[in-house]
This record gives sequence, structure tokens and C-alpha cells, in this order.
Amino acid sequence: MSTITRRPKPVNSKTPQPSETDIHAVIRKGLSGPVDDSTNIEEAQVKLRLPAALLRRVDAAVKAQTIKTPRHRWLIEAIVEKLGRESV
Amino acid sequence: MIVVAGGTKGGSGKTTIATNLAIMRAALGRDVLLIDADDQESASDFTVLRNERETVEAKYTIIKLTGVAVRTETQRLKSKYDDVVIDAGGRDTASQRAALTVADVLLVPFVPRSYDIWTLEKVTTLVREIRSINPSLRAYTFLNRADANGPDNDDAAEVLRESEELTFLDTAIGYRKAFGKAAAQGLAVTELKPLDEKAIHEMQALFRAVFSMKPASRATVTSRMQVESV
Repeated sequence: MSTITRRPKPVNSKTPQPSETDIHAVIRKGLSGPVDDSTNIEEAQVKLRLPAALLRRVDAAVKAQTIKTPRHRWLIEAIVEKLGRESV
Repeated sequence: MIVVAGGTKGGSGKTTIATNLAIMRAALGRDVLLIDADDQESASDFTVLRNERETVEAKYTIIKLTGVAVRTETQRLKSKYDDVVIDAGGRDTASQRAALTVADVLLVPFVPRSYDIWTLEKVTTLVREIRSINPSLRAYTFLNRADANGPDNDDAAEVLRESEELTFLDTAIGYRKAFGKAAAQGLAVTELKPLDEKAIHEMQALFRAVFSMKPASRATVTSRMQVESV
């Protein structure tokens, strides 16, 4: 084994880490998809009360998907579909 | 490893690259997650077709994600899989940006045509911006749907080599019907019968180039950041 090695390159441990706010700002500069409300700068929150049985049906539908999507996206897709049908 | 097939030009073969890499990786016994972050959802359609076949052996998990969720879900799921391949689509979308903030490798296929090559500047700007968030991102270009002959491949390669942000991989993939035939059956080109040796050889060369890459060292990343900040 050689006794001569290259001098280690200095590592700047003070390199600032971007904040989640910075990261989201960069992401939001990209175009949004048709069901992607999560990238809008203004994000509204709504408390949704559902009968437990209806939520179980939603979860069953989410679970039964051939291609999995999170429940959050499934609900957004359902809303967008209804808005599309009613041309709102 | 988290690999993104991306870019800002449609029709360059990103879904073909993403699905082939995912299947070839799974064929080695790796646990692979394919994320369809393209609004066109072609990778999902491909997978539905693939799952209808009973004979395919290489299996992978696929999910559809958009927007910031591509970042948050990839971060959450990456430890559960050996590899993550993301089809990010062909526009500068929030989904693609979110993918790149957590990716190890960006692969940008370029068809050797002027309209495609002209998007290099936008891709370069995007990569530069993403590296302010994810300095360890390694970005690569390569020719896809390359011509069988003529000067266009060399001319396009010459332009791609000039990029300082993206490294050109000399692993061109030709314009071959085998890729379309394989996709139509839910297969990777390596699974198609009869075999197209040239198509397989080209895809394997890209596969080796991508998955033999070592993670960027912290020193290298820091050095690049210091150079960029001068």
C-alpha cells in the first residue's frame, strides 16, 4: 500500500443548507399539472367532515388502484373530475 | 439511487428510458420504485399493460405523484427501495423540479434535431437552479432516437458536449422500432422477442453508465459550490 496520498480537499462545513421555504419556492416556479393544487402559491385548507363509511369507501378505492396514488391526490382528482363534468 | 428521466422537450423518449431502466434494474433482483410524475401518465399506462402479462418476471412498484408530493413522498419512500426511477415528463413542471431536489442523477435524452437541442439552454438553467438546492445532483445528456447515419448525431453531440452543467454520455440509443414494439407489449427492449441485439446493447450501455456512477463526494460538491459562488 502506498505511503503517499493526495492532500485531502478542504470541506466547507459552513455551506448553508437551503430551507424548506427556499426549496418550495424553487419547485413552485415550475408549471402546475391539471390536478396539482399543491404547487399554487396560495394554498387553502379546508376541514372535510366525511361519514366514516364514505371514507372507508374512499380508502378502499385508493387501495384498489392498479397504479397507486396517495389519498390526498385521489380526492383532488375526484374534485377536478366533478368540476370538469360540470364545466366550472 | 434516485434517477430522474427529465428535460424540457416532449417526445425525447423519457418514459421509454425510465421504464427500461426500472425493469432492467428489477431484473437484477433490486427492489425498484417507479414514480410517474408526468401528467401524460404514459409510464402508468405502460405498467397496466405490463401487469396484464402473466409471464413478466421483473416486477417493480409504481406510484403516480405530482407537485411537491414528488419530493416529500420520494424522501419518505427511498429507504424502502433499492432504487427509485422517476419519469418527470417533458416540461419544466413543479413535479420535475420537486424530483430533481431529491435526485442523485438526472438523465436528459436529446433527439438529434434542432428543436430538441435548442432546449439545452433551458435545461442548463434549470439544473443550475436546482443545484442551489441539491448540489450533489449529477446531470447527464445523451442522444436518443439517434440516426443510423449522417452528420446530425455528431453535430448534436458537439453542442451537448459544450454544456458546463450537464455531462454528455457517449452512449447513444438509436431510432429502432424494437423500442416501440416492446413498449406496445409492456416490455423492456431486453425482454422483447425476437431479440434486437443492437437495441439491447445500446440500452445496456446506458444502464451500465448510469448505475455504475458513484455518488458525488461531499468535497466535490462543496468545491463545485465554491466555484459557482465566485
